Amino acid sequence: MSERDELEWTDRELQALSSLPRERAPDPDLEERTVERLRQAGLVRQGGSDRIPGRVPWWRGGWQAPRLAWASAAAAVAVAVFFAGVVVGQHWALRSTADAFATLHRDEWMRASAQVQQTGSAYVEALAALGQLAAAQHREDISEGREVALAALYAAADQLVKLDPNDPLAVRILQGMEGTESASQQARPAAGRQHRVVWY
Amino acid sequence: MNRDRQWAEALIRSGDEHAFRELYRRHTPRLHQFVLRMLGGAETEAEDVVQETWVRAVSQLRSFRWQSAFATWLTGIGLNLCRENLRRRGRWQDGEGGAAAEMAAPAVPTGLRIDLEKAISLLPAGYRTVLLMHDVEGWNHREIACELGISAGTSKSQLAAARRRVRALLARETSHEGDSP
Repeated sequence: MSERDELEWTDRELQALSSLPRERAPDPDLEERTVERLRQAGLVRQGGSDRIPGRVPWWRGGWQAPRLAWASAAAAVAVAVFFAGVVVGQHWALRSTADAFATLHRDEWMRASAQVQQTGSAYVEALAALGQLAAAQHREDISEGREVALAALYAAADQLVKLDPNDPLAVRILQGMEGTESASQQARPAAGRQHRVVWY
Repeated sequence: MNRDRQWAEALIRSGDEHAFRELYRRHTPRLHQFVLRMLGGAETEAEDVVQETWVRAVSQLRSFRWQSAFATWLTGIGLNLCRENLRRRGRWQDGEGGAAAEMAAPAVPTGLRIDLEKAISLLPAGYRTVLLMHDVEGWNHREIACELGISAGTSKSQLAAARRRVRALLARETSHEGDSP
């Protein structure tokens, strides 16, 4: 019997046959179930690559080579991160120490400046009190206080010039006081020159 | 080297899961449709057979010589599993003659509209197999004979019988349509 006999399909039947679907997707879970079975049977290993295998010669060694390379790269990165952390840590530690010293010095400067301000205020207040006493009592009684105040002012001007030799105001105060002192020494008799300065 | 072979070799070499998934996604829709038709539309059993087909295919992949297309080889494995399934259900009888296949034919539900898909599903398993392999999958009689372990002549005669049965079923559909008011 020939295949091209009365049992050949008619055109209509052939059309119906060719219109039959050739593909049908199964339940999507079937893929996972199948992969799981293959894993259990040891026929596939979990994971894999998105790259087409067999194109690069070193792939002949399977996936062990790239996995080893990845592991080595990961170890190198870990070591690099560790040492970078050490370097950054040391940098921060040094920076913290420098900051602490700077802060300490800044605090000392502020304390010293505050002390000068407080002492100066006390000095001015003491002179004001001396002035009030001068108004009520004899001028001879306050001369000693006045001399101490001038000596303190001279010493202060001297320290200011030492702090900044180019400070014109401090230099002028010091020169003025020294000039006045020199003139008064010339005016007094040598035998009667007697200082009654009390240094604190 | 074709893409199927590249994925298959990766799978053999290292059990590459990604390579398997590529093969699976490429060939399963067609395999599933074939198996589903072979089993007469039994969806759950078809999925079981598809899964088993892949397990066998992967385990036997090393022995595949690439003298045919991967899809053809895979379909052959699926076909054998379908035959095992039908045999367990008493729907397949080995033999050269068509009488056995005739005996296994399911009863035709009269009064129902029967299209080509349905007519194929109502064929006896032996007839259905040859018709699907030849007329749907495009195998020749020599390949069918080799796969089923029968002669090419038997394959031809079973195909003729299958077509005759389908034509009869479709004619009955036409007749019922003419009877309806």
